[in-house]
Amino acid sequence: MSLDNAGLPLLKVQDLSVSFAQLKVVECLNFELQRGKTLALVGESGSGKSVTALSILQLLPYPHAHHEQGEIYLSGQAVVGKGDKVLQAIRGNKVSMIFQEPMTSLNPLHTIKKQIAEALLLHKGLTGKPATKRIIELLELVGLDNAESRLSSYPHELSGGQRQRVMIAMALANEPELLIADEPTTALDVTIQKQILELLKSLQKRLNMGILLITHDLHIVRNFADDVVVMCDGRQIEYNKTESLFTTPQQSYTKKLLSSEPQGQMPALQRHDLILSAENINVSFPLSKNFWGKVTSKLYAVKNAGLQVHQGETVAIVGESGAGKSTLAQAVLQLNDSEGKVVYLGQRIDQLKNSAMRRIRSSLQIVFQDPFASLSPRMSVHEIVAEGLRVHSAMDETQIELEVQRVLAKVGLDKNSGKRYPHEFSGGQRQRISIARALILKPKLIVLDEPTSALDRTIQKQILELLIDLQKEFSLSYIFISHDLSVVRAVSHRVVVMQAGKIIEQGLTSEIFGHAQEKYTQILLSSAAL
Amino acid sequence: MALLQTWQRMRSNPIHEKRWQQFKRNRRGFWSLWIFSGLFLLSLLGELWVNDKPIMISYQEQWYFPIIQDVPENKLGGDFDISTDYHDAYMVEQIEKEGWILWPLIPFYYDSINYELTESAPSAPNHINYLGTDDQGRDVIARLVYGFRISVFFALALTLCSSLIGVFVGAVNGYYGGRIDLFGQRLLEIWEGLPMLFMLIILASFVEPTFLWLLGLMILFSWPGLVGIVRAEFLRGRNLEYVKAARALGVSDNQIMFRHILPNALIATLTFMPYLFTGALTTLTSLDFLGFGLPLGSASLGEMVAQGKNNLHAPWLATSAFISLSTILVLLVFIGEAVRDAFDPRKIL
Repeated sequence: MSLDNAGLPLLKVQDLSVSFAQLKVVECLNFELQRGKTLALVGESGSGKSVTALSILQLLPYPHAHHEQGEIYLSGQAVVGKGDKVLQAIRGNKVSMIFQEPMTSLNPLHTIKKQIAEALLLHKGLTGKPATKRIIELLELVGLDNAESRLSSYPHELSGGQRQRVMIAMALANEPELLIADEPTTALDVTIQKQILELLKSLQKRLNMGILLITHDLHIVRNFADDVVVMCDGRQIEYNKTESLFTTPQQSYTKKLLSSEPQGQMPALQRHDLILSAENINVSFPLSKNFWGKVTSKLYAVKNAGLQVHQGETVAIVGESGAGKSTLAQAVLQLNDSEGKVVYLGQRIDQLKNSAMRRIRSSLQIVFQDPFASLSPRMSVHEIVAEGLRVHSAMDETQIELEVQRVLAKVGLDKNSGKRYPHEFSGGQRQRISIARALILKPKLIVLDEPTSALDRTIQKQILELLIDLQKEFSLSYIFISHDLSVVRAVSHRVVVMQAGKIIEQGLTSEIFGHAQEKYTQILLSSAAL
Repeated sequence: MALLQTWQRMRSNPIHEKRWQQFKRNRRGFWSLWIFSGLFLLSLLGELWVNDKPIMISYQEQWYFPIIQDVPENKLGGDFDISTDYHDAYMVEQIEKEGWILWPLIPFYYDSINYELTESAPSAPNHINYLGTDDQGRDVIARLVYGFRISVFFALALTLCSSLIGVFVGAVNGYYGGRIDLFGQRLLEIWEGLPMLFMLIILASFVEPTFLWLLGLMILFSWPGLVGIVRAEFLRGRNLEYVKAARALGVSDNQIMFRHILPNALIATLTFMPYLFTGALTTLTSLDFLGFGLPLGSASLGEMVAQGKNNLHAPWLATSAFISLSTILVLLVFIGEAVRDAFDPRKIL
C-alpha cells in the first residue's frame, strides 16, 4: 500500500442505499473499518446484511439492483458503479469473501488444489511449482492437517470444518486487506465454530486484515468484534464499540435483540410420574449384505440408548450434527425402524401393530425443525391443523371448526388464519402452526426437533415462551432436541448428551451445566462459551 | 354440485390461481387450447352440420326432424313404409312439392356414399364435395370431422385410463418401496419389453377390433408410461417432513398417499398428460393406417392417410389428412408446453 492513503480507513461506507427495482432494502448506511479491526454487521434475517456485503464487492444483480445514493471507499478508492476491470482487480485480491455454506461454495468437481490455484493464477499469475508451494503454505496457515496429502482431495472428502478452512485459504490466497465473512460458522457445530473463529482472529493479527463479519449470533460478536453495526429492515439502528453496545445499548431494538438471548432456568419438577421410558434403543443401517441379502455389517446411528420422560418435564437431547439425536427421538415415537423396548404409560408400544399404534399416536406428537418443509404447501392451515382430529375423533365439521380456532388462538395466531396457506406466513408463524397441529390432539408428549434453530433470535424467544406456557397449562412433556446449549439451559429440566449414537452423559440441567463429568460435555460447553 | 365446490376450492387456492395465470401467459398455448376446444366442440355437434339427413323438413304443414327421428317414406309422399333415403332425387322432389328441406352445411355422413359423382372416385373437390371424395365416394370433410372426433375420444379415454392405472401402480411402488417396489419394477420392465405394436397386430387377428377392444388392448400397454415419474415423486414424497408429521399424527397410509403426496405427483402427471394424449392419438392413427385399427368403414384419420398413400393421383386426400393431423398435433404440443410452463416452479411469478 502506498503511503498517501495510509491514514484513510480501509473501508468506508457513506450514506449507502440499495434498492431492488422499486423496493428499498438498505437505507443510509454509514460505517468505517480500520486495518486489523473487526466490524460486525448484526441483524435478523432480511435486515440487509448480506446485501450490504455484496454491494461492497459490487456483486449484486445490476442494474436490477441499484444504489440511489451513497458511496463505498476501499482505502480511499470509490467503487460504486466502477467498471468490471477495476472491480475484478479488487475482488479476490484486495477484498475476499467467505460464505456461509462451505459445501455449496466449493466446486464439487474440482480438487482443493485446483480451486485455490485459480485465485492465485488470476491475480498473481502463479503457476506450477511456486503455486503448489504457496497452496501448501496457505493450507498450513489455516491449520489443515496433512496439507500436502490433501491437495488432490475433493470437497466431499473433507468435513464441514475442513471445508471452511479451505474456503478461508482461498480467500487469503492473495493476502487481502479486507475479508468479508458472511455467517462463516453458522453451518458448523459449536466445537468447530470456535476453532474457525480463533483461526480467523490469529490470521487477522498476523496479516493485519480488516474483517467485516456478518452474523446473527451475538455470542460471536461479543467475543470477536471491535465495533458493531446493528441493522433492522435495512436501516442502521446503532453503531458503536462492542463493549459499550453490550453494556449500554442505546436503542430499544438493540435492547430487544440483546434480551432475546434465552435466559432463566426451569423450576424443578414437583412430582415424578414416569410417562415414557425407552431402553436399549438401537437404530442401524446395513452397510453391506452377502449374496443372500443377509446383512453382514451395520452402521449404528443409535446404539443402546435409553431415555425416561416424566410428566411435565422437558428432556433435552444435545450433541453435534450426526450424533443421532433426531434418530433416537423418532425411534421413541416408532417413526423409524428400531429395536428396543419402549413403554408408554405402562404399555409396550414397540411391538404394536400399525393400527393399534395409530390410536396411541394422538398422545405422542412431533414438531420438526424446518417450518417450511413440515407444512404441506397444498393444504390450508385449517386443513393442516384439523387433520389429526379427523383421524382420531368423531367430531362433526362445526365442532372441528371451533376446536381449530381455539387451538390457533392458543398458539397466538389470528383465528381467521385457517383459510390461508402456509406460504403466506413467516417462519415463526409457521412454527406456531406446526405446534397447533401437534397440540390439537391434546398430546402427553411432544418431540421438538430443533424447533427454533431456523428462526431469528427474537422469534425464537417468542416460540420458546409459548412452549413453556403450553407446558405449564397442559403439563406437557417435551423431548427437546437442540444443538444450541443456551436454549437448552433455558428450557430443559434434564439434559441427555449424545455423541456418535451413544448417550455419554445425562443428568439435571443444573448439574450438567454446573459440573459436567465427561470430557466431551465440557468441550461442548466451553465452545458455546457459557 | 360437489364438482362445482371442488372447482371453487381450487380457484380459491392462490397456487392454482397463479398456475392459471402462468398458463395464460403462454399466449400460444392459451389460444391453442381455445382453438382445440372449439374444434372438438364443433365435431361433437357434427350431426348438426355434417349429416346425410336434413336438419328439418316441412311437409304438408308438418315439421319433421330426421336427425333425431326416423321418418318413414310414406309420410313424406313416398310409396313404402321404410326409412327415407333423402339422397333419392324422387323423394326430394316429392317433399319439395308440398314443403321445404333444411339441409346441413355438408349433406354427407362419414359412411354415406355420393352416388351422383360426375367422375370416378376418388373425385376432385367441387361445389358439392368441398374437399373431394375418397376412393369409395365418401365426402372427405365428413370423414375428417368424424375421424377427428373418434380420435380425440379415443385418446382422451386412453390417457385417463392409463394415467389412473399408472398413478396407482407408481404410488404403491414408490410409497411402500422395498420388496413391493423391487418386484413391481421388474414386472414393469418385462411388461415394457413386450413389443406393443406386434402384440396388437397378433391380438387383432384373434378378435374383431371394435372401439372398446382397441382401447382395452392399448391401455394394457400404455399405462407403464407414467409409473416411473409417479414412483419417483412418491419415493421423494414419503420422506418429506410434512408427510412424516402426518404419520406422527396417526394418519393412515391411504390418506397420506392421497392427500399429502399425490398432489405433488399430480404435477408431474399433468405435465406429462398432453404428451400421452398426443402419443395415443398418433398410435391410433398409425394402427388405422396399417389396417389393424378401428373396424372397416369407420371414420378415422389413419385410414385417410392410407387412402392418400394408395391414391397419389388424388392429392386432396393426402393433403387434407396431412394438414388436419399436423394441425391437431401442433395444437396439442403447444397446449402441452403451456401446461408445462404453468407447473414450472421457477416460472411462478
